[in-house]
Amino acid sequence: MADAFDYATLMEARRTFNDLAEADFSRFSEEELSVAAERVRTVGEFLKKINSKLINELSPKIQTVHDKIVQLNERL
Amino acid sequence: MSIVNLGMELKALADNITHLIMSISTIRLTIEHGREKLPLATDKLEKITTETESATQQVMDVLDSLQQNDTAALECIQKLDPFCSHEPAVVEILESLRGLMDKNQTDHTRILETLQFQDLTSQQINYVSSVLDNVENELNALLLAFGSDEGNAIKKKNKVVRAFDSKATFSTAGAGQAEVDSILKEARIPGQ
Repeated sequence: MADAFDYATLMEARRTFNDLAEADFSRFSEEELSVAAERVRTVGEFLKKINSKLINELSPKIQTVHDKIVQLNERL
Repeated sequence: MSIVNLGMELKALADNITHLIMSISTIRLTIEHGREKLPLATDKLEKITTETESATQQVMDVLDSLQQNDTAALECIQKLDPFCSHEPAVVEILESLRGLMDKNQTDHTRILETLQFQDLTSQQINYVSSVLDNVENELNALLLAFGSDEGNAIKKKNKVVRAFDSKATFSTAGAGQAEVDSILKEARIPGQ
């Protein structure tokens, strides 16, 4: 499913970035590294925003639905 | 310095992905838990409907029997009439009994009419169950969106098609009956 959160891809991405963090960047110029760092930071900020939306907006709503379902079961 | 910074940025990015995975995992668990509980609620509602239906049927059977007894008792009183016509006191007692039996018949009919609450209640419960079915479908869709195959598996399960009138209430049913009575009264030919 194209629009689903794909765990495997996320895990793979995490592994790749962790591996990449250990790589030798000495052959790159200061400027190239600065641009790359900036781009990585931008992607990181984007992920933070997604995570923040999940935690602050989606999660409480889903928790409310869950609590209502539990309450309903208890009352029945 | 920049080399270290890029490494740190990449590590931070990996950490962000970890947080994202954790958030998705937490949300998915909450959805799964809620989705698992929903069919329990629907089952309980169906059980309420079944038990109410069964109890109502039993009450209706008893009422049928009582109505037959009413008729039999009235017939007995009628059979006594020729033997007691010369005894005014006994005639008076028989008239009282006849009045009581008539009242019993009316009351039993009223109870039978009132028992339509069961049908109305089951329609309302079916409506609630269908709302719960919709919530379950939405949760399944969310589970699919969060990368769970379970949502798909459950979505494929056969769902009961529920028939109901979401506005079915006892008061409106009463109004409807009054309306029907009024139409019949108007249409009735005098003397019939």
